Amino acid sequence: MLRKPQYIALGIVALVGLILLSLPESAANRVKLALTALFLPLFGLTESTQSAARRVGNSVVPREDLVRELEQLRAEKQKLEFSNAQLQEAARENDGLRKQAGFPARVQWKLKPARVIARDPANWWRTVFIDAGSKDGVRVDMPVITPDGLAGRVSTVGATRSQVVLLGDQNCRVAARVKETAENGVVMPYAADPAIVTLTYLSRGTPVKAGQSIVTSGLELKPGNKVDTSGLGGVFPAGIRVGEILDVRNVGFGLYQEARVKLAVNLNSLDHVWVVAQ
Amino acid sequence: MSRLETISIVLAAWFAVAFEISFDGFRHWFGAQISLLPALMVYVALSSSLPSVALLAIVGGLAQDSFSANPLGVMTVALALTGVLLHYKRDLVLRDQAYAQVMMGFIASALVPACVVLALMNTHNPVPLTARLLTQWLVMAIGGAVATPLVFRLFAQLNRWFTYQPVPESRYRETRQIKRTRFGHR
Repeated sequence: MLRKPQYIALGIVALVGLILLSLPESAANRVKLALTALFLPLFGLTESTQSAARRVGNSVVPREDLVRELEQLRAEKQKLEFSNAQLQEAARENDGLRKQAGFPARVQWKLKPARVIARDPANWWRTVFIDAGSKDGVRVDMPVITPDGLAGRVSTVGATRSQVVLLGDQNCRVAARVKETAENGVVMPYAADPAIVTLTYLSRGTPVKAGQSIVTSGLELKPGNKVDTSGLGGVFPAGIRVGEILDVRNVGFGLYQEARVKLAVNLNSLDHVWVVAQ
Repeated sequence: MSRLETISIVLAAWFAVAFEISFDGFRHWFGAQISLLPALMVYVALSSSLPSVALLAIVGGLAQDSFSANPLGVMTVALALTGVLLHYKRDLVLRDQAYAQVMMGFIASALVPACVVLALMNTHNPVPLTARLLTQWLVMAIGGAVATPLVFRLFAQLNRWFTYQPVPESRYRETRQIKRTRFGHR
């Protein structure tokens, strides 16, 4: 038989559950971000532990290795400086030609570095928290990238922390294009493997140039083809690497194709990311 | 519910969630993150009162949901349901036996995610039921089963450290005393 304090305890849980579950999404997100502040000591501890471990690791690296690496980096830097000079010249030329043709100027990316501070404890979602928020200029739907390619997009923004929904989550769908064939599709989650996504709604036809004689229409996509963002969705800018095609199959009674794409970014070992402010 | 009990439950919930959001090892090795909150709930439900169950469900559930894409409050409800169920059957459970702890841990660690997934089925963002999700569910249940006896041992140790232990009864009985007088035994 329940006693009075037990009734009260059960009533409180039921009330809290009902109130929270009926909160509007924006209010629930604000409450969530406020609650994450309770874990600030953990984030600080993790950061200081990692930096201490790095310092210890750095102190035991032999001097010869450091000198060798320094030489390699100097050589690489010189190469990159040449390459950068060429690219800047090309960009200037491109800007000039765009201006002459009346095209709007390309928007430069502003990259904001961020550190992954927490992962989603639920196994069915793929989100992470980063240590950059609205104070750092982060806004909802900004793309999040790594040097290897696209990682996801910002879904919720707090003052100093943000939640990022990663590729492969059902809430992160990306308009993408196969680089070699210019086929457009949509990146969707692939349930069986978190390192793979599905590129779907790919048309079966191939682009035909003027004057070209058509011999056959059929599968043009091949394993190993690169997949980049197409920029069509309006959220992700064009040209960010998503991954490469593993295999292709016909779906929807042969109406369109679907490709399995191996992600370029290893999302399980995300540590540092860049938020793209366009 | 004593003050020490309240503090230890809140701290344990904090550490359990901190472990889940910062430790990636289980995800790398077994493909799923193992939640320690159901194991903690088994301990609280079998050893403590209903207000303690409610406290753990609210604190632990809210902390976990705040780092997750789950709707806020869904974990609270799942934990509370599991805790209340276990609490009302606690007289039937030999809670000091490791086997019983493992079985209760397995049941709770399977029940909590099942409740959450079932609740998510009724939202606009349902979780796709796949073979991978089933494997993850099994990993979570087995992980919780292994963690539960460890949680019981940890709290037993904490109780030994922070609470007054009962003084062991003396074997001496006054009635057994042989009282001597001037005239011999009385």
